[in-house]
Amino acid sequence: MMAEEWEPKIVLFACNWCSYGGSDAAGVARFQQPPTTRIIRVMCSGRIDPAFVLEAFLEGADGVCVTGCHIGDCHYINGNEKTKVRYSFLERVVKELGIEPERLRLEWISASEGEKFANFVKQVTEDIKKLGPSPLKPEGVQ
Amino acid sequence: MKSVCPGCNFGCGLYLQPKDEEMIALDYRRGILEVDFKKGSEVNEGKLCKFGVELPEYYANKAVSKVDGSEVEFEKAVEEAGKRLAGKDAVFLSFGDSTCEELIALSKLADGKIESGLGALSDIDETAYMCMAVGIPYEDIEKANSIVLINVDPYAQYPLILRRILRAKENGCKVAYVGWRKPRNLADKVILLSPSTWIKTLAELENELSEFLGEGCVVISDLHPHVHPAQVKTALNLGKGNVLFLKPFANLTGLMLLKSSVSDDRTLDNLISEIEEGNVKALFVHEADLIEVMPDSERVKEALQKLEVLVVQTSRASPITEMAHVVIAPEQLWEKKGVVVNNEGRILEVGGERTDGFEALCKVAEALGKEKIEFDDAHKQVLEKVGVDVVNEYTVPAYERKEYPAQSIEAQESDIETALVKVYTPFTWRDMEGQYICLSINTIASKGIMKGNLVTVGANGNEGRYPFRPDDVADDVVLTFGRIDIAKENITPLEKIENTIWTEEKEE
Amino acid sequence: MNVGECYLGWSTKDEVREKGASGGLVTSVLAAALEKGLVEKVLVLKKISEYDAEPIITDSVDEVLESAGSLHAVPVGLSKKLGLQLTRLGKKIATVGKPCDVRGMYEMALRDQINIDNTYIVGLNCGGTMPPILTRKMLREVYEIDPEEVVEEEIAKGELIFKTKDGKEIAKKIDELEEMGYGRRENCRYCFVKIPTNADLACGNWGVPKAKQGQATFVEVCSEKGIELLENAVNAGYIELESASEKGINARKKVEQAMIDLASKWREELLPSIPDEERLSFYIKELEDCIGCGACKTVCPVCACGDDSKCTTMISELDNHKISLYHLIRFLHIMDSCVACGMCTDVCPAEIKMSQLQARFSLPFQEEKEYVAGMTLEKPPFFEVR
Repeated sequence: MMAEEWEPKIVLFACNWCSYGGSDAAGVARFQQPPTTRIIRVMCSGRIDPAFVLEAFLEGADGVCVTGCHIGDCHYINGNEKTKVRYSFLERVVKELGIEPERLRLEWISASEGEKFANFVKQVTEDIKKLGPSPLKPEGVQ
Repeated sequence: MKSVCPGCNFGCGLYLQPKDEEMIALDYRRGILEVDFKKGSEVNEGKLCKFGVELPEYYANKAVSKVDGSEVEFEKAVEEAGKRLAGKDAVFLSFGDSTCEELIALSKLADGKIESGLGALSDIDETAYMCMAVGIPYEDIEKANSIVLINVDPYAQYPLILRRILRAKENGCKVAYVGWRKPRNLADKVILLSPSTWIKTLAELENELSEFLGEGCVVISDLHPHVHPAQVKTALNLGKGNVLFLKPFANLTGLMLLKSSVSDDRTLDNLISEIEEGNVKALFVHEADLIEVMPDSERVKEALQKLEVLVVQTSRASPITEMAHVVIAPEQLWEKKGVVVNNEGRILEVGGERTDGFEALCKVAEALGKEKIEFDDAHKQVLEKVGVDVVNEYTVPAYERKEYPAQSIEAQESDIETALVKVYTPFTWRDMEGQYICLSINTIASKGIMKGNLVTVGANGNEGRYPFRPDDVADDVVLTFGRIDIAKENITPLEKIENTIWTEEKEE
Repeated sequence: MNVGECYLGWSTKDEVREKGASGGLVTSVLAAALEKGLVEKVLVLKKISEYDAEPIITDSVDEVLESAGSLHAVPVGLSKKLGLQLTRLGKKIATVGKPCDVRGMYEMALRDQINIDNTYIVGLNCGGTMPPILTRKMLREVYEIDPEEVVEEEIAKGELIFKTKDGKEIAKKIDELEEMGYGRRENCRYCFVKIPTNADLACGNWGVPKAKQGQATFVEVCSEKGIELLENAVNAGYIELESASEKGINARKKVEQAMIDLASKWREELLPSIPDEERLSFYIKELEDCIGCGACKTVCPVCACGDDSKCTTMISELDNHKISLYHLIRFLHIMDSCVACGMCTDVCPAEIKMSQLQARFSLPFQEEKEYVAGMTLEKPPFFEVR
């Protein structure tokens, strides 16, 4: 019964110009999406230090999503390309640590892609629900 | 140059090098020294805890010689100290934070009566004194069949002992821990103490830990001026000579060896009471700070103000150097010529060349019409006391340990519900521990305390707000390693623990 | 003289030749560089005993000459020592270095910690170093000699040889010692870089013909600065050189290859793969004893953030995380640049095998990116963002 009621907590980093707009668009267009995400808005996906993602996991997030503008669309020339390089480091660390790869996602979502945003959140939530709570959740955190 | 870490009495070896002058400006780190790891050191194999790693910062804090608050030359301060102490029946306090040679000079100055603050241990049988002063060699820990840790949490207190215990565990050794905070997953058996019954628990340990005691059992405890005698007695009873006391001052073992008894010593509490009552009018403090080491620093400050003469000889600036009438600021430990003796009785050269501190003590002694001693003679006396001909860092001298009778412990109980317990780490003594409290998960959940919030704790009618950390402590214990202003004792009953709700006005 | 050429060389000074290993070439090259003003300071190891040495930066020729002699049982990290020093101020420094030291220096140069143009590196071939206290124990228990009696040690033909004061010579197979838990540091066992061709000179006794064993050093010139160093020493009359034979060059290659083969065997044994589902608990268990002293960061040559680094400022003693964020950030930060010198393992008071854990992240990552840390000054592929 607990397993059915359990809702994952997902930290979603969204860049101000594209992905955050995408989430907005999803809301305006009334696309249904599960209430599992905690969105953190950043000015650019390039601002997302891998350490933030690791910290989110250590604090008890069941999943972390990094989202930003499509490659070539960055409002700060090449911020998301830097994200890509950093993400390759991060991915390796998360994989090597033995955290299921489904818990960490990178997705480029533009401001007009409301549906994509909603579907992405749906998909991630479903995947993580299958995995159950994160093994890194500290004692006493729900 | 070769040096010994001054952080505690463990005796860790390290290399210190003065930084290139041009580099001091360029380097992001404080201090004029650079630490190199001495991997050829038998004690620590080059490994250091936070204290050693950040030693340059510790040494960056230098005292300056002062008379009545104004800076003076070193010689002037020494001269003035001699003048002011003349004709006064001064008390000489040292925790042994200096070389053995300097302690001998101090002993001459004090007519053989150095106060160590270890008065709480005065009723322990004299035959056990040697076992208290010098522990078993660290290497024997690795060979132990079982280890009993009494109030020593290696993760917080003496981290360099940890690797010895881990190695012992690899050889199949069983570990039991008795104390205030569970040491992660180190121990096979954990007995958490409760403030109301802890002395009773200690007194009855022999039954509880029967499977751990016996042949090849090593008992590790700590020993310092605030230690409760029941803890030391328990360690002695359980270990039957196979005990190791870890001490927080660079050469407390040396001091204890030179003193050969603490039965006439005062406790720090008694000393301060006597100052308050006016029985002690003059105090000479050697490389120590009473204000930092007492839980109730306000009381100490008030008491010290009543003194007619307060002379402090210390290389480190601390609250007491702000108050002293005369501050003699000699060289720091790493610059000193001489030896220290570590917990296991190993005699180690400090590595420096200077003897200013030693000479200062001799000059003050001369001014008071006492016998003078040459440095080389003092050094010889030390070697004699330890029983070796030369200083060899690779060997532990053999010490004669007598058998001692079992010590009786009075099993007390109290009706304390929840208490703030102060656990002493080597950092606590220098006021270098963080000001936070450790709470059990149950306490946090039942009081509804949220992460990131402060916890309001109240005792003796006072209140304070502190950050907290979830930890493996008993539900009736609030534990702290650092200075918590509301705590006036080492175990302070608490009236209140609650979540602090931050509002704009409260921040005022 | 050209880059890529190989020579045999030895000191012209008798006392250096006697004291130093293999003809005292390295010591003489450094001393000559200092005396003739090619460099202002030299970083060498000041020998304290057979098991203990202190890295010092000196401008005294005598001190350099005194430092002669090989020390296998003194694993000192030299790159970090150099990094905190003067090359950034425009001072020229000559230094010795094992391959891992040299690689550390290159990674530091990439991070602007040292100025490699001002650094003359005399690289030393290295089959591995040994932890001193363990070596002392080994001498007592396996070799059955008093460690204080040892006057010289040598590694030759897979054997570890100790010579005592009274002229005794005892040799044991390194393989067997390592099976018993003694011998080289674990890091050295699985290290693939045995000849520091990234240094200015690569020196060692591999490839020295039998007749000259112990009297000459085989030296490969690896850069223009290397030519400068050697020519300076020859002109100053400190050393003599002769061209190395084809046979010697091949012999050296063979020794290197044998060491590398052995290393890959050790790599499999010391870094066994762990199934996905067990890895997290493995890391949690391994890192559980960390006391947060920060020593591993202090000694790390490729860590260049300084005091206000993310790994130290983003953590708090109030957290009760299952793994310290400090380690996760460090795993990530030095994944591309770890040179596997093993200094972090050496200084860990909780005896966590930090370097071996780091290797689990950095070795596959560097392989994936086709980059070996610390071998060139080219920008690593992952630094490049359009």
